[in-house]
Amino acid sequence: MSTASFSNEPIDVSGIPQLSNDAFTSMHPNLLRVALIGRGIFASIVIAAAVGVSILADVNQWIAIAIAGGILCLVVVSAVVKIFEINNIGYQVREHDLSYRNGLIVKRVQTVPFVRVQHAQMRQGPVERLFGISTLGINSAGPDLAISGLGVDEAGRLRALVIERAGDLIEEQ
Amino acid sequence: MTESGEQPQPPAVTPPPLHPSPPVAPLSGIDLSVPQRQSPLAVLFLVLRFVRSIGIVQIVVGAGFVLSRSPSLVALAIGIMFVASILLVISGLGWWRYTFAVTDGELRVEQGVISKQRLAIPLDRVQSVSIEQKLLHRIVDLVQVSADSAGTALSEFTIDAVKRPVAEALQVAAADRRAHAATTNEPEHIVHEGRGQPVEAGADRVVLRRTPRELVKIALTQFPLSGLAVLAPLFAFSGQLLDRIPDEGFLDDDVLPAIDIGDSLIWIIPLAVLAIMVFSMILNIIRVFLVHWDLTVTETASGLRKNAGLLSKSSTAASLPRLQLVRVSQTALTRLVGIRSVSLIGIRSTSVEQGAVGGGGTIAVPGCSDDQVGELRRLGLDGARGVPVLDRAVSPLEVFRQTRNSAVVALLLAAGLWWSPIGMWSLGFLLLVPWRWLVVRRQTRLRRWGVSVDAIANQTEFFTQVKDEALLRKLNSVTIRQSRFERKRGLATLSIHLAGAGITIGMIPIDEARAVRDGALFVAETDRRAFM
Repeated sequence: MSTASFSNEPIDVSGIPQLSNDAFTSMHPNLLRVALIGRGIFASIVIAAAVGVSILADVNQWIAIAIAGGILCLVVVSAVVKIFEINNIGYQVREHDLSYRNGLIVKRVQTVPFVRVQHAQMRQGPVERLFGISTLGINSAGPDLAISGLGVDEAGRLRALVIERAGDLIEEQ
Repeated sequence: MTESGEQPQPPAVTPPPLHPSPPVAPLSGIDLSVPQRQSPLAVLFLVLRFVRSIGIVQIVVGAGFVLSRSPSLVALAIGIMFVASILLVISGLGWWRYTFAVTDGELRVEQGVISKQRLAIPLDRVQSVSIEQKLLHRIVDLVQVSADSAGTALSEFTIDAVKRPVAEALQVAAADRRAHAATTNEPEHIVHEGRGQPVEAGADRVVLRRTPRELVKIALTQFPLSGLAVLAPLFAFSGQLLDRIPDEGFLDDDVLPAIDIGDSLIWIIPLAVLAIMVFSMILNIIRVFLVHWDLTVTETASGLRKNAGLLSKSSTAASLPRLQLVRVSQTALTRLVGIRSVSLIGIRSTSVEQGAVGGGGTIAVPGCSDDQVGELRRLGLDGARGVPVLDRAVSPLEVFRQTRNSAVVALLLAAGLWWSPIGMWSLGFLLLVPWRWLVVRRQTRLRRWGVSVDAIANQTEFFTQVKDEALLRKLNSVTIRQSRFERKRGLATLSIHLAGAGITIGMIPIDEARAVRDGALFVAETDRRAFM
């Protein structure tokens, strides 16, 4: 194997910009409320269904109670996890990319360069609309990124920024 | 001043189009800007497609229903002619209304008998154009064209039957358009190091060609029983075949002759296994000859093209910028004869973890020598050096983590099945834990990864060694994930996501993961070459 054209000199990485762990912006305070209400609605539907089935159908009521109780426990655990997770959720915008941090048991930081963004869209469910927050979806050719818990104005500004930066960078190409 | 005394008029200036597109050069006298029809024989293929869409089972059931009424021969013939003529008329109309053309850098298709549909696919989004000549196509000397346009409404587009020159003109038009788009996007200062001299249009370079001897080598180094896959359709119909055997005591014990095999059993079983393996190998050689006959990889002006096949000929073309991942694999058997398989994976893959092979535009070449691996790797990495040395390992704590997880699952299974009919035998699940420990220990020891200024690579090995390599500038996003186990020990999992593929490396130091992430983002954000 020829080694004439091969070199493996050390590279100075100190000049490469680093993603700071302390510069993440927290989400809108209503995110926790929306998340808990969503879980509450789900739990109510499950309990109502269990009660309905045990009354209308010829099913042992203890089985229905056990299933509903199990699902209720999972919902409660999920709500507790969300309460503790909320402080870890945040986003960070830099000149060339956008990062999103979330998770409690498994913590994630995902970064998408603006130059790879295909399109961005805002979504608002009924509960989100009630509390004035929305979700910003950012689509690339790789996995998509969904940032939930942004104020409506904040999400609009962020979407405009993402699209503008993506357009500028693609034009520069 | 002219003789007539008129002032010379400046030539009319036509404003350049916003997105200039190269004209579609007529190839072999074929002008694709004029709407083309498929060959008239395409009507037969449309009939076949319609029949296939009904389903063989439904047709057999329908025929059985008709025959059960005991119709006269005349009525049957009239009925068949009636159905055939309706099929021919519908397919003929479908053929007449189906036209395609290449204008303004778009492949425009018009189709539909009752309602007319117009489709326009930008040619620079067409990732690959494949030409395939199946057995029936060979008889009538036509080919099938498949255009893979990931990211558009029509991800896979097929023209059933056209003459080869038309198909090749379409392939060249798409390739030219892609090359034009790539040239327009590429700054002048970027130099493709190591890619050698650029290939001029019309001067294709053969990268490799498989000889029959090499094909035999490929077939013999595959899994010994893989040839039995050829018989899979027979197994699928085995139930129906058995139903046809008259059930008149044929399989009763008292009819079957009693065979006393006695001591010869010890010889019969190995001999039977040997016979099955030899039979399977012969079938596999036939299969490899059918699929890979005259396998040729050619470097064209805009990318790579692979042609192969004996009865059904296939041709796959992919542009180099759209290749995302280079996968080199070597099994224990191929290691013995010093060959590897190379897959240049295009953008239509689905699994981020594995960078699944088989998507559109993927060029898979088995049986490559070291030189051929180097050549394909260089082409797949667009001239970059890649990662020459894999000098990094994952944390040995991976062995503990995976063994612990397996032990928990085994304990739960054993406890759960203790009261089942298998009783104390459920403890057998615990025996899987040491086996799992041995496997993970070997995998972790052999796992290697590395990163260079322009690429990242990950290599896994157990019986088969698989090395994935990707250019950092093609990343679409990057994720660092930390489970509780990893967080407590300062470790993390790094995922580099490409367009539809990706590389994931778990259980590496968090500082190392962050440094690679920052470096990869720096490369992707500063290198403005096309990433797909």
